[in-house]
Amino acid sequence: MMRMVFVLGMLSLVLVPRAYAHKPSDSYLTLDARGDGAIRGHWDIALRDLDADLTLDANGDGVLRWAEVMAREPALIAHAARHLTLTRSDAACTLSLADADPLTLVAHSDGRYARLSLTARCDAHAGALQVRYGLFFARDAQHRGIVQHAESESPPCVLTTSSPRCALHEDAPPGVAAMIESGVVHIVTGYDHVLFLLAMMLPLLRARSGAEPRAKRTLTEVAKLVTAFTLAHSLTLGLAALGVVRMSASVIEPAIAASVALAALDVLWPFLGAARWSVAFALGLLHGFGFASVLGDLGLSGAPLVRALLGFNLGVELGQLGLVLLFVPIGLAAVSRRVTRGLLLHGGSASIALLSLVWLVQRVRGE
Amino acid sequence: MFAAVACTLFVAAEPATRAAERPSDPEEVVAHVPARESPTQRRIAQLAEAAANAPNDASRAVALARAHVEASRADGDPRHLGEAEAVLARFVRSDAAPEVRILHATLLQARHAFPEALRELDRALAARPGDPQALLTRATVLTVRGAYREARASCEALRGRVTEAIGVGCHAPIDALQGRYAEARAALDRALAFTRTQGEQALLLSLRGEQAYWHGDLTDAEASLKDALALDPSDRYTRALYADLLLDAARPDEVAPLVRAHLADDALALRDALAAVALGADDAPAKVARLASGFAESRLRGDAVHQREEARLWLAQPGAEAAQHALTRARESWGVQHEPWDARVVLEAALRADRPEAAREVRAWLAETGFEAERLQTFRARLQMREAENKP
Repeated sequence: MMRMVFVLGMLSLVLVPRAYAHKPSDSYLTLDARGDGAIRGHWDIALRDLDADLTLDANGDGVLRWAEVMAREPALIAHAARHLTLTRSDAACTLSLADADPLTLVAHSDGRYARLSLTARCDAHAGALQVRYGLFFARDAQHRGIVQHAESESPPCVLTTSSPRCALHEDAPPGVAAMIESGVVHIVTGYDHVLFLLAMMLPLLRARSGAEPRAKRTLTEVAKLVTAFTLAHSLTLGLAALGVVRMSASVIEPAIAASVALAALDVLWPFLGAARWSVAFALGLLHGFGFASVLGDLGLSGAPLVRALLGFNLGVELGQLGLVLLFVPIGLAAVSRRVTRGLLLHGGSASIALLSLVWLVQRVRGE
Repeated sequence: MFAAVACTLFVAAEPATRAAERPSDPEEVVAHVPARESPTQRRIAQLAEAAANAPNDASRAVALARAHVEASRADGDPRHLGEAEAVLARFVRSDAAPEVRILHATLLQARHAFPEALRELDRALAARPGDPQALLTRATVLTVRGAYREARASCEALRGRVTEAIGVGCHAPIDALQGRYAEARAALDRALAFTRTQGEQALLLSLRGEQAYWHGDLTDAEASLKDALALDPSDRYTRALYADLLLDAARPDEVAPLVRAHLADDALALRDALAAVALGADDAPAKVARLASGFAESRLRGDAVHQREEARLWLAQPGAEAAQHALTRARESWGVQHEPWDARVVLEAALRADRPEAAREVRAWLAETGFEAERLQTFRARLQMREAENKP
C-alpha cells in the first residue's frame, strides 16, 4: 500500500490509498460445452455492477433490495444477453439466459451476484466455442470477464476490454481415471502392439537346456523383454505427446506393422539374435509414437496434458501387464506339449507374420 | 487446521460450489451500492452529463475521472478507479494533454503498473515542466521503486512549488531510510510546527511515525501514529502502520479494536488475521482463509498487487511449505517494488525457509543504497550468519 498525495488546484490534499476494500469488478462465466451442440452453464454478475449500469436502486438510497432487483429483472437479463456472444465455427449460437432456471443470487467475496443460468444451441457441432464478451467495459476499464470451462483443468480465460475474446475447447479433457481406462483399452484392442509383444515372447518359451528351471528363466527373460518394450514406448509416447518429437502417422503405422512382421518371422527363422530385449527396445520406440496419436486428438497442453499422458501410459502398462500375465502361463503350458508347441510357435508366428504383412501393405497404401 | 487453510490458498474461487438462492423477502437487502443521493454521486452525475455534452473535451473528462477517484478514496472500492480509467480512455493517446497523463499515471500506479506510470509522468513533465502534481507523483512512484536518487531529483524540483509540508514529506522518508534519520526527523518537526492545515499535519505525523517505526523507536512511532489517526481516523494507511507496530511489539490483542470497524479493507483485514493467528484465536483459520480466497480471486483475474500481503499471510503459517510460498510471493513483490516492507518480507521468508541465498539480491540492494533500518537489522544479521554457516 502506498500513500499518494494529490495536489489539486488550491493545494487541497486527496490521499489515494492502494489497498482496497474489495477487488475490482469481475464477472464469472462457467460453461459446459457438450458434444451434442448444447451448451449449459451460468453467469455470475455483481449486483453492484448491474446497478451502476442500470440503476437498479430505484430510490437511490444506496440500499439495494430484492424487490428493486425483481422489478428490473427482464431488463437486467436482456442487458447481459446483449453483451455476450457465443459462436462456433463462425456460426452463431442462440443464447438463453435465466430461461430454464430463474435468476438467483449467489455470494462472492465482494458481495452478492446475480446468477443467470445459461443455455445455448449452436448450429455447428464441431470446433472450439468462441466467446465474445463486452459487459461493463464501456464503464469500467478494469472489469474482467472470467470464463471457465466446467470440469476443465485448463486455466480460465480472463477477458478484458482490450482482449474480449477467447476460445474454449469443445470437450472437457478427460480425468485421470478415464485416461487410464483409455490406455488399457488401447493396448488390449491394439492388436499390432499386442501381437508384437507376443511374437517377441514366443522364442523365450522354447525349451532350453540349463540348470535353471524353464519357467523361472523364461519369466526373467519375459520381464526383461517387457520392461525394455515398456521403457521404449513410454519414452517415445512422452516425447511425441509433449510435442518434442513428431513422427507422421503415414511413416509410423507401416513401421509398426513391419516391426510385428519382423518379430513373427524371427520365431520361424531366428535372425534377431539372443538379446531380444534390445530389439524389443528399438522396435518399441516405434510403438510409442503409435500411442501418442490418442493424446494428440485431445488437444491438451501443459499440466492437463502431462496428467493425461501419465494416466494413459499407466493404463497401457496395466493392460500390457495383464496380457503378459495371461499369456505366459498359457504359453508355457502350450510349449510343454508337443502338439500345442508346434501350433503355437509355428502356426502362431506364421499367422502373426501373415497378418502383419497384410497390415503393412494396407498401411503403406494408406488404407 | 493450518493445513486445511494452506490448501485454500491454492484453490481459486469456485463459483459452481456456491449456494444460489432466490430470496423470499422482497425487502431483503441484497447489496450496498453508491447512493445516488449522496453528494459524491450527485457530483459525478453532473460531471458525467457535462462530459457527455462535450465528448471531445479532455478537461471535462479529467474532472469526471477525478470525481471517480475521490469516490474510491471515500469508500475504498477500487471499481471507481476502473470507471475513472474508462472515462479517460479515449484521451489517453500519443498527443494526450498533460493533465490526462498525470491522472492516468495515478491510476496506473494504483494497480502497480509503475514503469507505465513513470512513462506517462515523464511525457507530462516534458510538456509541462515543473508541474507539482506530476513531480510529486513521480517522486512517490520512484520512492516505492527504491530509485532514491531519481526520487530526490523530483523532490528537489518541487521546492518552491508546494508547501513546506509536502516538500518535506517528499524527501524526508528517503533521508530517514538512507542513514539521515536525525536530519529527516528535524525537517518533519519543523514542518509540523509551521503547517496550518489538519490534512498536512496528519500526513506529517504519519510520516514521522513511519520513520520512527523503521528506525526502531516503537514508543515514539506509536505516539506519532496515534496523533495522526486522531486527526484523520479515515486514514487506513496510518491505521495499518499502527497495527504493524502493535504486531511487532507483541501486542496482538490491541489490533482487533484498532481495525474492527474497517475490516472491509483488505489491508486491515490482513493485520486482523495476523493478530488472530498470533493470539491463536479460534477464528484465525477462517480469517486467513477468507483473505487467501480473496488473493486467489485477485490472481484469477490476472492482477498482481497483493504479493506482499500474501507473503505475510504465508509467513503467519507454520511449516516449510508455507515458508516456501512466502518466499516466492515475497520475491515476486520485490520484483515490482522496493519498499521497506517488501525488503522485510523477503528477508523474513528467506530465513524461515532457510534459503539465505534467496535474499542475496535484497541484501545487496540494501547495502548499496546505504539502507538503514533497525527493523531490518536483525534479519540481515541472521541471514549473514546463516549464509556463513552454510558455506562449506
